[in-house]
Amino acid sequence: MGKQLIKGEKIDISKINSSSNKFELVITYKNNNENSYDIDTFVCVCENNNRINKKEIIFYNNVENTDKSICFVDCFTDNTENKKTFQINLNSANISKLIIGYSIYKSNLCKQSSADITLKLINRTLQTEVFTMSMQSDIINNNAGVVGEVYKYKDVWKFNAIEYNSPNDLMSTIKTLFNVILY
Amino acid sequence: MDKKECLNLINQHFELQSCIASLKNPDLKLKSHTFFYNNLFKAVKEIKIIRVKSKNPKDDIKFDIYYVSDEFEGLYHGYFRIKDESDSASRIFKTVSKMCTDLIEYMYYVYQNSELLKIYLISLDIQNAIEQCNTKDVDGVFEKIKKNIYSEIAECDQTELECSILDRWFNRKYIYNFIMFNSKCSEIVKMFLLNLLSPKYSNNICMINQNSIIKNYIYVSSSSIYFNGNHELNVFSILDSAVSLEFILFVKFDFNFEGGVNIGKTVDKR
Repeated sequence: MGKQLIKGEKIDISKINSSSNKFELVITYKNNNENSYDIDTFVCVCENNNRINKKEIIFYNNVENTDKSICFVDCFTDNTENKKTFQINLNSANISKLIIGYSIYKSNLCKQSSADITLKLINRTLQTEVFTMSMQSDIINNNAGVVGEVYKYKDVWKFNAIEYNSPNDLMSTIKTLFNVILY
Repeated sequence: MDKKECLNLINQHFELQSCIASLKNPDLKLKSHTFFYNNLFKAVKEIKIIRVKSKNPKDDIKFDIYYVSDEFEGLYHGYFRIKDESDSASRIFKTVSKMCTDLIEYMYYVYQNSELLKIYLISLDIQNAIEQCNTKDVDGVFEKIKKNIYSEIAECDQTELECSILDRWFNRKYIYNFIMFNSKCSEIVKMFLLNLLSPKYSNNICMINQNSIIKNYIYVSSSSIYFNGNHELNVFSILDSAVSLEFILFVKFDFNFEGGVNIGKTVDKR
């Protein structure tokens, strides 16, 4: 059982260039088997100069990045629980920072008012859970959110639990929060 | 010919009859989102509002305009559906979308894309126009497309195929996300999305992701749509053929992430 993270908390997840830098980022939420509401998760790969190549935004429509260091897998664990997994190799030379966010889809038939989202980081080499983070998103008033960021600090990879909900769309939220340029 | 001239020409040679008592003197300037009766018709799924027919009865061009009271954020607030009611009308609309939100834009689009209407508006003789029009049989092309799609599916590795296909249960969500994340769609793309959302095609459409191994698909970006890199092949005809020949059409969306509320605004430092 990994550490339970709260908003604003930072955690070391691995040493840079360590052989055990393969992770699984698992995001789960319940949608009560409805198609009137859903959450789509995104991992954006930031380069050194705070730029994000659009081809390096990983989600359901772009399931792996150019050097295949991040892969997206979408599956249902049971009738109501939805599980989205990103397999990440942090040893890729192109990764300077990862921004983990989500966008909310709701049709006018949506009856849900909030969503409980859980994020887990699992070290695939060591088969250990690094941390768990739980957040609640008000899906009536919000359209997107940023869960956290994975970034380099000195000789370690760290995770910062941001937990930010936004009424704007995801890319505008990421641009505002991180001052990044999409190209 | 510009939009206005085109509309004048159509008004000159076609007459419009209202199909509902409260809609007096209908014209082709209707837009579905500003349509005066859209709130009134909310409870009705679909209603025939206008019958359009050629002023020359010999030509027998007849089509009806229906108002469909459906909503889709970012795309339409009600829309119009065109239903051909005569053989010559069916030939005119064969290669174009039969759904739209703005009738002027639509009629101009039909004029630009239907060779038959273009020739008819000059010759004013539908038989002559049909004879002049390039009437090469395209049905064989669609049969070939169906064959190619099915042989490609048969050759695909099952796991790779499963990784390529998006859950059809969420087709509306994929279209919504495409509109929200991308820059403003061109009129033709909007019209295509409108068709994808209609129940008519829902059983014949399957979205695939960008990394998909499937090569026979309709590519959709904010500005263009085409099948297999072929810009000449009409995508609306392919949609119709998917229904009539009963095959699955794969659709791939290209996200440019240029949409959203903060586009063009200065970003603040954290």
